[in-house]
Amino acid sequence: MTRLGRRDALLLLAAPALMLWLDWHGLRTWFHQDDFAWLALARSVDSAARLWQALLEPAAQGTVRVWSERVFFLALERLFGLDHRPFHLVVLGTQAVNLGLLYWITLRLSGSRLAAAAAPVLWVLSPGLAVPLAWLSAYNQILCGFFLLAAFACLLRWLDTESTGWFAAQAALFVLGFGALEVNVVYPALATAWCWLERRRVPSAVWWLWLPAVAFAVLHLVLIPKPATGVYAQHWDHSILKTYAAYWTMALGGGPDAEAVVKNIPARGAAAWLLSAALLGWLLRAAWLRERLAVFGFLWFTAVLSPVLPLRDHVSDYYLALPAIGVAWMLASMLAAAGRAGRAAAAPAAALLAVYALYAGSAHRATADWRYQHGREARYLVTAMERAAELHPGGLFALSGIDSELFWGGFHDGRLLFRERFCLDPRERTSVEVPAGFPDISAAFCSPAEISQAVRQKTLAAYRWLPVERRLRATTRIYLHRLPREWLDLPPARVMPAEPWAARWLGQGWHQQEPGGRWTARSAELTLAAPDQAGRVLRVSVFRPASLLDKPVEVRIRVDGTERGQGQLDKQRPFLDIHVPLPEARPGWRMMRVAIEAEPVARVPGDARELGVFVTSAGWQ
Amino acid sequence: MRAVAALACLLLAAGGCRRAHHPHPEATIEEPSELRAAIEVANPADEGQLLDGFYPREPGGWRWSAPEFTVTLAVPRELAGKDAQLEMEFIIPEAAAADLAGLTITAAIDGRQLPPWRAAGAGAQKAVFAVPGELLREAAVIVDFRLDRFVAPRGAETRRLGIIPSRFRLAAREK
Repeated sequence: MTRLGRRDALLLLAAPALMLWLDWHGLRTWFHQDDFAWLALARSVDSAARLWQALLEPAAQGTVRVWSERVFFLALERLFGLDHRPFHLVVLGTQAVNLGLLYWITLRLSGSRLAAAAAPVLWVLSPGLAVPLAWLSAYNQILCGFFLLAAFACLLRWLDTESTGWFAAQAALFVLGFGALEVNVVYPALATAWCWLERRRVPSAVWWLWLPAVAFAVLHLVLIPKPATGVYAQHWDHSILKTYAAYWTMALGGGPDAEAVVKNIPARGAAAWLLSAALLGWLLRAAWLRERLAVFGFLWFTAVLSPVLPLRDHVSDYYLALPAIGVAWMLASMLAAAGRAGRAAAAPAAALLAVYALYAGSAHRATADWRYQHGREARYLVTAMERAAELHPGGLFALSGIDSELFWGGFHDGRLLFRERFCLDPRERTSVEVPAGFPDISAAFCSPAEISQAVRQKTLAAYRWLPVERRLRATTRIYLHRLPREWLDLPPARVMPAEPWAARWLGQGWHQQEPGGRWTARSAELTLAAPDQAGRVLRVSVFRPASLLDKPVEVRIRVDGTERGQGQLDKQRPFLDIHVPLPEARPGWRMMRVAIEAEPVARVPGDARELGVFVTSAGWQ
Repeated sequence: MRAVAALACLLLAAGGCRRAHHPHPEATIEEPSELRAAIEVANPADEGQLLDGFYPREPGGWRWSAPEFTVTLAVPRELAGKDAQLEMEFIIPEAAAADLAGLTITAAIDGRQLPPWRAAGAGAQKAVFAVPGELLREAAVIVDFRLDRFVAPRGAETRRLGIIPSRFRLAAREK
């Protein structure tokens, strides 16, 4: 057994200390980008059913990362709201455990304290770790690292002691790891590879680990739709080798991202070539000398990277966070071997590591600092939006002056945190760049009809972002003053028939206004603004009491005379939201007639009216 | 299963533990709730009535205007519905005199143009525009000013500079 002593405790401290220095800004980064979508999901939980749904419903790219995204954000948002510090404490704590595990594993694999002390330090320097330590949505990398390293440590204890408890712990950690990140699926390959390297045979129990991995892979392939286009499209061709080479270069501190973020350190490409040549030379020698740690490091890097290699158009630095452990092992084993070989070999090895530390470390630090700035900008914007919502509850907030970077960093997902609708002025559509593969941003822009409706209801609040002061300035007066006159004549995008202002837009077939809505006759018409762009969906919310539903009622929706949607009310489903995809906007189409038809109608004794359905709202977004 | 139920209860109940959060009151700059009929450009308290077309404050508090700028002014109760005059005090600096020679300023309220005013030359001056009473029926007006000349960007100065307004006022019409 590999026991740790006081000397190990001191050696162990080097990596966390370096991490605190390197990621001093990164570990204090505020929420940004996808973080807001997770926080909004947490805020939407108001019942046990909704909690269950929030924990297990597939999200982005069909993923269900229960621990690293759902529980992480749900629990901490619930406890601490928009305070980012507890989130980062969890990240920091997990990563500190990871560094301890890496020390112990390296010591066990190599028997070298020099390699054991170096590996966590080299991992900390990796450019791939900067984002997961700074961006809370990438905590999945850190937590998956914990499950992989902890399971692997249990495997090693099992190999040493043959105690089934360790194997069971390993299996449990492996299975739980699927709740952190899909990359966990490669664990059996890592376990198998090490057993073969160390013992030249693989214990039969280890083969059983493949069962959950294969099951997960099959389920993932069958259940999760794979996009044929966009950045998440998979490319199973020779581009995989090119992608591999790009990650390899990036892992050593090179690559276009590093060039972009660190401009003051030259010859980055040459350094990556030098390190590559040295590492490949060392790998060949290590294979010859049976230096298992180096070979295993290379296998780890390749295996852990393999799930993202088909994503040719989505090469991301943080996908390197876990493969970088393999790089750390390759470099640490080289250092240990050089140390054993004497001063003549140690000096060049130390020089190579210094080159790695300079280039990888500078890329890491710059990436972490960039994330910190990004989070700071998002914080200013979201705080200003919170203040605006506090001052004008229930308003429609039309924002202007937001550039592409702030849009993607803070606004696009940040607006999901609010009950109020925050949207950008539709005239600023061209100020936001949409990189290839990014989601449609239509919903982030107000439609002229929404603005016109908010003006009529006196709920419009316009604000302009002041980039120097980092504040929102209220501009409602000038915004209204400059509003295109033709917008003000637009019918609303949404009508609630119970509201007095709505009467103007209701046509024939409506009975009198009642609390919550209005009854239609067999057919009723209303006028709405025509959609301003493709993809708008009309939602009509209708109801009929179960006592008037002896027979199912067919509800049909016509738009400008053409039937576009229908639904059925019955005793089991007396409420219904009918969703009707609307045609694309076309020049000159300003308003549309929506007809709601119900068949059969109902009659109530003592009431001469024909009752169709009770409509609570009709409108599009 | 019990553990899952306990976790669910904990998560749902946890929201009650956290402190009430209030965003910083200075995170937004709100419009003034009460407008004034006379405003000073250098007075920070009046900044909310400079709606558009004013460059950032220079040392000393003065500001350049753009060739088009907009202010809002309260209509004093005694002027409501009556013929009045809109006054703008401003400076044309000597350095800009050549570019702005023969400058004509127009003002519009609710899209209706007031009779234009022609500047005399460089230095401090006061433009006065006659405002018909029918434009003063609301509690406030928004006035759009437009200059027919401006100092074009040159050298390190990339802005289109207009004049240096110092004061705006709605007042009773002088006989």
